[in-house]
Amino acid sequence: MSRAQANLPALVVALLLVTTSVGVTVGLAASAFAGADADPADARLAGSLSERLVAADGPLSVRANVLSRAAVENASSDSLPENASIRVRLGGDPILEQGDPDGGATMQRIVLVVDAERRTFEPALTGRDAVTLPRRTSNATLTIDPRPGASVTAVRANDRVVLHDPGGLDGTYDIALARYDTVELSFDASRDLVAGSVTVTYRVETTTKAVLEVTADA
Amino acid sequence: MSDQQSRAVVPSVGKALEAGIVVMFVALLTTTLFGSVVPNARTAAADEVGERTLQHAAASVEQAVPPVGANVAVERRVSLPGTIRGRGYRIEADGNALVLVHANQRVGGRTPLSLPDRVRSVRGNWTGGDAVVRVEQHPDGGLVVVLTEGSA
Repeated sequence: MSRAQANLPALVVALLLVTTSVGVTVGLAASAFAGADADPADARLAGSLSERLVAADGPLSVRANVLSRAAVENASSDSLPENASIRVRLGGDPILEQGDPDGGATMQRIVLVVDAERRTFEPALTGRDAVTLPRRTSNATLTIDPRPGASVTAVRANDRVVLHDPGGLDGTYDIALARYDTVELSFDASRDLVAGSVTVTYRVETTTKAVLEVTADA
Repeated sequence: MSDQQSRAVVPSVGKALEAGIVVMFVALLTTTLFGSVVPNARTAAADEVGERTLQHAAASVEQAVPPVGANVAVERRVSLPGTIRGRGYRIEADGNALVLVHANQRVGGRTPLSLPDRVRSVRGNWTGGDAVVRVEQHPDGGLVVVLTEGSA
C-alpha cells in the first residue's frame, strides 16, 4: 500500500507550490492596485480652484496672478463649489474655509497681493509747468483750478495730449495713463502756473509676494 | 493469493486518487480565481479608470472655458475610454458637478467643477469614446457649457 502511493506526497508538495505561487501572484496584483490607488479628485480640484482664484477674471484677482488685498479681506465662500471641503490660505492665514478638509491635496501658488490706495499731491510747478508722477499708475484724477487770469488749454502725458480745451480747462478730470511708463504731465498754460493750480490724485499699488495655498478634500 | 490480487489493484487506485486530487484542486483554484479574485481585480481597476476618466473629463470642461471674454464659441475634443470594465458608462452634468454613472455599483463618482461665474449652466452627457465640449453664449448673457458626442 505505502509503496504504490509513494508519489502522493510529491503531488501534495507540487500542489502546495502551485497554491503558494498563485497566492503570491494575487498578492502582488493586489499591492499593484494599492499602489495605483491615487486620489486624483482632490489634486484636480485643488489645482483647478487655485487656477480659478488667480485667473484674470477670478473673484479675488486684479490681473492674472495678482490678488487684491481688499477682495481677499472680503472674500466669501460663494465662489467655491459645493459638496467639497476647501481651505484657502494666503501667506499662512486662512482666507476662505468651507467644511473642514481632513487631508486632501494642497496646491501652492506664488501670487502678488496688491494694496491699492489713492494719493493726492499738489505739484509746486516751479520752473517748467510739468510734474512727474512718482509711481507708475493706470489712471489719475487732475483738479485744475488756475488763478484768475491764467488758463490751462492742454495737458500732456509724455507728450501725448490727454486733455484739451482751447477755452481753458477748469474742474476735475479723469485721465487714463499707460501703466508701463513713468508719466510726466505737462501743462500748456497762458501764464506760468503757481503751486496749488493743479492737484493730482493717482492710484498707488503696493505689491507683496505671498503663497496662495488651496487645500481640497472632495 | 489475496495479497497478489490486491497488489494489482493498488496502482490504479493510487492514480485515480491522484487524478481526483488534481481535478478537485483545479476546480477549487478556478472557482476562487474567477469567483472573487478576478472580478474584484477588474472592479478595482475599473474604479481607478473611472475616477481618472471623470477627473480628465472635469479638467477638460474647465479648460474649455476661456479665461476672458463673454462673446465666445469654443469646441474642444475630449478623448474618453470607450468602455469601463467592458460596459458602457455615462458622464452627466448635474448642476455644477460631473457624475459618472456605470452599471457596476462600485464604479462611479461625482466631482465638483470650478467654473467662472459667467458660466450659467452645464448640461448634456457623454457616453465615452470621442466627446466634444462646447461653450456657447446664453441668450440672456453669460455662457453655457454643453457636453455632446463627437462626430466620429
